[in-house]
Amino acid sequence: MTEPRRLTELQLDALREMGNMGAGHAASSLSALIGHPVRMDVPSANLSDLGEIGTLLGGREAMVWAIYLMVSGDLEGHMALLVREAEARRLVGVLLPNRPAGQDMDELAESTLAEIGNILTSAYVGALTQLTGFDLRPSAPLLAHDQAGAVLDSLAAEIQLAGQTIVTLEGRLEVPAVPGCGVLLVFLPPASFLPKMFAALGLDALR
Amino acid sequence: MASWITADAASETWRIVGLGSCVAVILRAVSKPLVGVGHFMLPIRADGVPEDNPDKFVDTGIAAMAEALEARGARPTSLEALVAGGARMFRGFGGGPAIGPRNVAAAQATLGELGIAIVAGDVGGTLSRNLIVADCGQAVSVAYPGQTGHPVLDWQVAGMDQPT
Repeated sequence: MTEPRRLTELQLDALREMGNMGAGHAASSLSALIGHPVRMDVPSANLSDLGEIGTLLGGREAMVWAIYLMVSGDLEGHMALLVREAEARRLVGVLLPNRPAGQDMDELAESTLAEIGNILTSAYVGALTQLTGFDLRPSAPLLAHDQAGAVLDSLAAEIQLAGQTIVTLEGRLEVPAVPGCGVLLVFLPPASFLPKMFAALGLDALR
Repeated sequence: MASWITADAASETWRIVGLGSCVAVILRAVSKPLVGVGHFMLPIRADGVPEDNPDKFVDTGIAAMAEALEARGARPTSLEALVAGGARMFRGFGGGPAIGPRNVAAAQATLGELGIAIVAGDVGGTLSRNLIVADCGQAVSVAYPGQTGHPVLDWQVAGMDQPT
């Protein structure tokens, strides 16, 4: 079984559908958590490096919060929740309304963000488990607060060091009631698992 | 974002933005205006990482950069190195992944094998860095995210210890 070097339109559609399910569950969880409706963009899927995501986050120098975890079990993958600095402050503001506006991100704000990451990624992984029947176990989340370029390079290096070529499945969630409040969810399954995943989805023809 | 270049024009300036767990290696010739600026992402090429580009690896990238400098007239014994980066970007239980320290160790080992002295460095820690390399490597400054001033690294004095 060789790793695909590029994906067909059908495979991309199947991946986007998977991303839809995952991000949809995550959106419901976020909505339940903050008590506001959450809008979800149609996820995109790529067989590529993470450079494009940097643009979505505002460029290499833009400060972001990243919650990163590994998925193990029937599929060894990676997941990240990426939140731009200003959006992280608004999101924490919604969840901790008694904090004075403009207060710095302290330990409470950080652990709140990490918990949001935990809840959203668990919802995402749970949806994939339902969809594929795979046993998928997320690890405890790791946190970084740094420039987008540095965070994405480090993620890419970690994944490559684990011996994997990755597929990038990204989806953005937004809270329309709070302007400029949203998160980017990125699921990074290894390309070597694509045939197995497509088979589990009943898409044998795509292998 | 990983690659390297060599240059001999003092007027040229390079910026390395968002140097996280990656390492930057700057090689300059002692006797003439000539510098190599490298930004590497992965430690050792022979580790079986699925990446075809040798310039993304610390060991093969540094070796190729040193060779290119020699081809432009630098004597191997007259090169000196500055190493920066290699932060531990993610924190959590068990300290998180350690690719940054592995990249730094690979840079130290590779430069040692090539007989190139490390005369300045700013490595480790938990934050990314932004570098500005000017005047053929005679002026190198390092700043952390959100930091306004760019303190200039002193090639003669700075060691491999990380700042606090």
